[in-house]
Amino acid sequence: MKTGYSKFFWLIILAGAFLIANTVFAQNVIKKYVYQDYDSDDTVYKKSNHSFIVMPASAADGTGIVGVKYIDEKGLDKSQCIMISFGNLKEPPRWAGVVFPVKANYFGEKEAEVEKEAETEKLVLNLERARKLVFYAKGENGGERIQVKAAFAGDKPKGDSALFPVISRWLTLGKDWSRYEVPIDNPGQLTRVITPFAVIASLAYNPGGAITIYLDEIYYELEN
Amino acid sequence: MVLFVFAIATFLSACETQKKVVAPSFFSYLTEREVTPSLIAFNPSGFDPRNPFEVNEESLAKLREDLRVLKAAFNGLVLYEVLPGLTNAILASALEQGFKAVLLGIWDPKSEKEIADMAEMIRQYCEKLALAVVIGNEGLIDNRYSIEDVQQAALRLKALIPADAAIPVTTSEPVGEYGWKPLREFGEFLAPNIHPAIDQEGMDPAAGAAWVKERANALASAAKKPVLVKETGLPNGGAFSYTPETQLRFWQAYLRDGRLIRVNAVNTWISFAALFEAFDTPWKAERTGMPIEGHWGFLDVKRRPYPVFEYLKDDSRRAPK
Repeated sequence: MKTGYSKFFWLIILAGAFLIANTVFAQNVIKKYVYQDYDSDDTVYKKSNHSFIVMPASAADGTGIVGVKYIDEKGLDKSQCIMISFGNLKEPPRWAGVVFPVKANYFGEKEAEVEKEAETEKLVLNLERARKLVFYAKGENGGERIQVKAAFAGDKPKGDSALFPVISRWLTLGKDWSRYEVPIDNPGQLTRVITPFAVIASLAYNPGGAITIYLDEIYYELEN
Repeated sequence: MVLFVFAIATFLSACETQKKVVAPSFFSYLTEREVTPSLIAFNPSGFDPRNPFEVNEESLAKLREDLRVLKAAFNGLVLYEVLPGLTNAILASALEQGFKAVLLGIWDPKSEKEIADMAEMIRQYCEKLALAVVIGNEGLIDNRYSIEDVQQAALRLKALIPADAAIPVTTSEPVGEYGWKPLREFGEFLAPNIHPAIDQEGMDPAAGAAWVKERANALASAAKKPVLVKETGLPNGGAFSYTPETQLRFWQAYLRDGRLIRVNAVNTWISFAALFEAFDTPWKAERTGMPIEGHWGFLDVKRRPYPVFEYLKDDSRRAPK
């Protein structure tokens, strides 16, 4: 049976429906920033509390294995960004990571933090409605390989609520900024998050043993 | 007449049943408690992959002696790769000495030859030993292969073995990597390596054992699949805090409540029946630059037992809990 409408007509209708759905969906997404800019308000990391933990402890500051800096005018839109140098991955255990917890040096070890518990609890994130972790990254030379993790202190007394962490596959960075998404496949478990972002590099994935990477605009997309 | 036909049919059916050999099942070995399941990660004493292993009368005699000594505490083996000549000799000798099960390993999922050799091994032994296969060991974290390589290897292997062999397949990575969904979704069961000596450095042996069990439980609950903790333990040396005594205390705490727990909430189970590892391996310490890597043995390279071995001999004789 002929309807009298052309294929072109239906194409227009479909495109319109897609645009409307997209707009509605976009309105239903909230961004929860882990890092936006060094001094922005709506972000976990800001000037007053900036902190990170280097893993393993043997790779911490002063060893030259890992260095973290906040850099002006090198980020997206010439804003600030985070620069991480993995300086010597050839040293055992041949991997290193930088964790950005909600509070300076806080890894969910109850005993060490008990006197400040009430203050800490205010900083804990509820990412139950998170559907993806988004961030922008680039490498100094291109070809640097990293893995991103989040909510991975689930085995600590006051750690993350998730049974298992959010993990990306190993990503290869380009020389220019690119957007990366990590799907959250256990959203209901992210009711308590104290380690919203971490980045790992290893010698196995970076045979040269030294890489420098840049990170910016790290956020979770939450369903409204 | 009808009765006669029925009698003939029953007779033929009984003959068919008698001919059919029921292959031992790896999951039954772990869960049905006819014996206390006890798998030991095994390479021959003095084995060093940097030197070719010569299969000759002398080396085979040494291999038989290794297995004879281990049989006092173990009735199963965990292997990591298929090596021409050697793996077949290990299985033949294990069968001869009464071992019940082998968790076989493919080291390189990209190797067509290793997969074909594995299939041949399975065809030869699947009716005599309870078998399962781990495709790859820590190769995702070490960038030796991809999850797609592992998935392809599983398909290739299953195409090469008898359809009714029902050999469960999995891969193995450090437990922290199992947050990645494709890894959790691969295989009929999960076989993580959970090492407190690496992830919880300095933890007390009993606390370390409890941490391993908690992580295994979390994984079984998240994946809703059976979990066999493939590697765990504490080394007997290589760092100030590790001694034969701390190694013993770890295994006492780890095995105190038995080798199997049911996770009823997700209708699955966790097995703690795999023990790491048979003999000290100095080559691993040299290769990795990490002294503890050479000190995971229950016996030293000359087959002299550490205290934990005597404990395991006693524990394996107890009725399964």
